[in-house]
Amino acid sequence: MTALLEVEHLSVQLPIDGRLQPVIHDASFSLARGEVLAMVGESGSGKSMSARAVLGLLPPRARTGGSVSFDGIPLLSAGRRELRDIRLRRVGMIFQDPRAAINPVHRIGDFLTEALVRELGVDGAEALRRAEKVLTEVRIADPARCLRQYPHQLSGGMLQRVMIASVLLAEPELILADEPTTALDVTTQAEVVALLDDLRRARGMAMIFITHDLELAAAISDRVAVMYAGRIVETLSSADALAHPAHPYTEALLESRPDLRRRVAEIPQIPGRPRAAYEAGPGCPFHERCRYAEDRCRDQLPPLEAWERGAAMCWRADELRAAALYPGSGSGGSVPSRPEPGGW
Amino acid sequence: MSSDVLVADGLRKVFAVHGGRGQGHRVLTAVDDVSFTLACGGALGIVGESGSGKTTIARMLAGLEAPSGGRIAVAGRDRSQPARASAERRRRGHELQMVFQDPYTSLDPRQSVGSCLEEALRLHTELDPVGRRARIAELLGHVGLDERHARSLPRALSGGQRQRVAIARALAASPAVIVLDEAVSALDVSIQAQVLNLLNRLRAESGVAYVFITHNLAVVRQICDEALVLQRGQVVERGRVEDVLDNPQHEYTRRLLASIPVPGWDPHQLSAA
Repeated sequence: MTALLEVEHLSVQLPIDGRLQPVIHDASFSLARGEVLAMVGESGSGKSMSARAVLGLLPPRARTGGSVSFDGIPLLSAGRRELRDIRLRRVGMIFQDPRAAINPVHRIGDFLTEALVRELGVDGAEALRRAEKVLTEVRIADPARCLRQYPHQLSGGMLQRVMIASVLLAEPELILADEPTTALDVTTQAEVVALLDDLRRARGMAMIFITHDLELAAAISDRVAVMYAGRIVETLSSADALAHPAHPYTEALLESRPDLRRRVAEIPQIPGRPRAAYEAGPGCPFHERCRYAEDRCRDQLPPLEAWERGAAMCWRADELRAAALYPGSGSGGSVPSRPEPGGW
Repeated sequence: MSSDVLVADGLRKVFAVHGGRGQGHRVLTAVDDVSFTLACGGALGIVGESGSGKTTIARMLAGLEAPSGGRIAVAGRDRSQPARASAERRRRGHELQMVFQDPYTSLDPRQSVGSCLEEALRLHTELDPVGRRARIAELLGHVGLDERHARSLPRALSGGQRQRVAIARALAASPAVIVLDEAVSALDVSIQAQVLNLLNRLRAESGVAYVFITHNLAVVRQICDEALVLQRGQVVERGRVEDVLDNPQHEYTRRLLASIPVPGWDPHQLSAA
């Protein structure tokens, strides 16, 4: 079976401070039909940029390398027309802030039917009928009224449902959701995530879900890709993401979340700050914040190496995994045992 | 038990809002009869979602909004009415300081970190220039920055560093209370942990009290002693943090707790509830 989306050795450079600097290094991932991949990382990790690069939604003067293939179509070399057609019919995008993506002076009805009528040649009355139906599907209580309303009359959660509705109208095969619930209240986030999951499953759509929240990522996806400094440093199944991270960054990210269930004297913290891709030296981009770092980590970039349940870009992934999965299995003095809380 | 440094009693705030076409004005009660106290050196979490009134409460405590009703007293002095004289405003600033969510907008982009702290010290202390310089170094040390950062403009700092500067600026007045309005919400997870540890350490060392406004219950668990849960301007639950989070009594508190992604979390369970 061929993948719906195949990204190989993707690199992106953007003009920063007047010269081209890397924001994505050598990212490879693939997505099968109906599969959900979550991309997780902190700000500047490149998680949004990699999704945007897939759709050709990069700023002007960006330079890309590698290849992106959507259902066999090479996207990085695709013409404007071809890209536009794919964005219109086959790939939908949901952004963090629906208020920035929906024209505030048009009614919701106009927003939802515009593309159908103008680009897909659907008759106006039929387009409205479809829009009303899809608003029902995103569980908006009074869809006829909603169609007549303006964006400012709706709450953020309602507007994000409208955004999801607009994506569903085109019946795409792939949804790119870039932090779609980050700006929402936590109870609204739960509702929107459940909704997105139901609708996507019912239609067999694949999704790339971009978030900074590992626990949210694990709940909604099949696989998780963790990004740091413009690189995918780990991929793993969602079932393993919270229990068996193989990369020290993923592990540290999990530990540094404030614990809802118990108070700790000191939250384990990662020293320093997240690095941007262009700041990274020749070695592992995480080495200066990593508690397991050795000399070679500073000088040599580790490969993204596959193991049975994922892949990790770490020189010491094998020994750390051995220590984590089989604690006390006598692997010699060189592997640190799982550190005490606050022992950074 | 120590005495209370902050008392809010029957706090109310109503706003006039435009209705739809032809409906004229209507009244929105943003904060409805909210009372709480904060012990000296304590930490109270005010928890709620958008529209709960939590930020309006923060703004009333800091004197950025005048309450429509009720009473606020800090360090035994009433501040329910706007301060008229500048001396009174300074005194209030000396009692209570605020840290906002967004360190990108709460600092002056043209002012260096050192000059920002210098200004706060000039306003709120009697220190001479030499004393101020020493105190700036001390404040930067407290928040994990050093004198190199004193010469930096905010744009040269990371988000976490800027929030540290905002905290140092609040500390410069040696206030009895700091109101933190979603102060760690915009930070990356790894930076958030650093700032939370910093806040806990500063409270233990200086005895400053916090009103911590947030939507994040995990942060309340790590920072606060007591919690107040707000829904649509009203208090629906209050108590010690352990009691509120481990044994929530109100349906809304339970819903908030169940909405937080944790291992094994399934968002569908909530929609059913």
